[in-house]
Amino acid sequence: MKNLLPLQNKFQDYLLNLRDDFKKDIVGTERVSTETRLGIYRDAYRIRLHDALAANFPILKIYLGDEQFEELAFDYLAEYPSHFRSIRWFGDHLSPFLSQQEKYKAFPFLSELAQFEWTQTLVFDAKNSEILQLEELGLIPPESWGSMTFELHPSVHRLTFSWNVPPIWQALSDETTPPEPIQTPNTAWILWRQELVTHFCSLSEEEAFGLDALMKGNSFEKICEGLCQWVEEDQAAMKAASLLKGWILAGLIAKVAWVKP
Amino acid sequence: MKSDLKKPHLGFGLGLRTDHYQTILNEKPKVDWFEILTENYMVPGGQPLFFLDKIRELYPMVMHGVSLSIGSTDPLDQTYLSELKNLAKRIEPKWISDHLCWTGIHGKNSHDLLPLPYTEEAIHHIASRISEVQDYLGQRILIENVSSYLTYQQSMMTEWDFLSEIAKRADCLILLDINNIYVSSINHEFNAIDYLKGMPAERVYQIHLAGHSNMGDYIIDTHDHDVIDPVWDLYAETIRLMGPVSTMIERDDNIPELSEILIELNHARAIEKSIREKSHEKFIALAE
Repeated sequence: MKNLLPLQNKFQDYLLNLRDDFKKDIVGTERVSTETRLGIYRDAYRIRLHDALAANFPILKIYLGDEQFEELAFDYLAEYPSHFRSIRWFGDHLSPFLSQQEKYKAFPFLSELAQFEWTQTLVFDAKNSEILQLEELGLIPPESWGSMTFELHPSVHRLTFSWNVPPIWQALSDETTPPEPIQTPNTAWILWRQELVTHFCSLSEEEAFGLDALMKGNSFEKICEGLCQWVEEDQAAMKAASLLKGWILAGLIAKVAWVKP
Repeated sequence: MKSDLKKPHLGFGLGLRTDHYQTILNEKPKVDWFEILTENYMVPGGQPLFFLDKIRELYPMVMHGVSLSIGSTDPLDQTYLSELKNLAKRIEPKWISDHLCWTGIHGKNSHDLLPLPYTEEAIHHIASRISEVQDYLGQRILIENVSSYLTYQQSMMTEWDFLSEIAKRADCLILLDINNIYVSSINHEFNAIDYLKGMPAERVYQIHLAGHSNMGDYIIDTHDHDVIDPVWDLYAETIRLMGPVSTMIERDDNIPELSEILIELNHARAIEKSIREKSHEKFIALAE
């Protein structure tokens, strides 16, 4: 690739870094200069990636306003040019980028808002799966209940936020005035897809514990034991069963496995 | 990979867009086939694949990609090819197409259809990569001409000679974008009819029609407007030169109601019908 590789190197370097030693490789005309011709590509590149980010983070864009979002998009693009085949995945680092950059560090909730929106995109096109039906639990002998382990629906994501980003997101999504950002230390949230609709909700401390234990592959018995931090020992199984019923009805659980007595 | 070039005529199709999913399922419009944007369905699950499967039950489809980057000096992306093959298995498209361009090197992607220098080196490189892709997929692919805004000093031939030679050497097919020919003819000051005459008609399996943005001194291929009259004229000329070809309207932005695009599609049908009838009349007159 004697000539093609150096040419592509120079073109890409122009697009990404505005290196202009590429100009001499281009034929200009009286009507349209070399600069204009190159500028069309440069502008298209920046606009396309900006728009891709705006599509993945629509509420962050509303929150920041067009001008600030554009600045953020170009800052991000300079740091993380796309290496994806599909533009759908562009923006995967925006949340950590916001938390690491000096310019945005003063607004720590922005990183969480980005994380919340990015996770929604993951939920949206996560793998399909069957969901466990409540009746299937009825087929499991009571003496095997303690051994039950579960597999969650592939769309389920557990997040922990230190800021009230879901209410901010919801208000902006409903085109109403968002609440002021306030700290909500270690609040557990869950996002998932039921049928084709994305849902999210906050979790109580004990529900977050139960779901996390379930996600780690702990048995129903272990979950019951753990719940004793919040309820009396004789109430733990009832509490765990009630949580389990809620998760199944919400479509969070794909499969159950259990050991025969 | 060699096979005969008796081309199928799918009729008149549209680019499948998310805005129209529900209308298509509810109204089952008179569209002969849909073209999907391949990368939009290279996802694990959820809405995109749900609607894809539903609409596929009702209509034939073709796959149109933007990320093959056939002209790049990076190695072909085997993961991408494998996903492409899996998606093709799922929807059994009439054919698969992508663009005569490169999109990036060193693993980066500009997500733009960047032009190639029209050189022997590029022909050799691209033809061998198309052959590799075709062998992997087990079918011939269609390669589409892109709109371009610059010409390289290196280029040694016209775009149409470049495309024809690649198609011949790789034994691949062509997706001819009439709007792109028009856009490039203005941007590079060539005669669009020369381009059409330079095409190997037997390899042109599909036509794209689209709108663009006129910036005065140059034109940008934005796919966000209706098809303009000079592009319709060029389409008519294409059909006169090549006979009926599977044709579709490609709209990517500023997407109107489906009914509005169907009017454009019917206009394409009418043009083809009129040319077919005229040529039939000529044939009868000659026979008498």
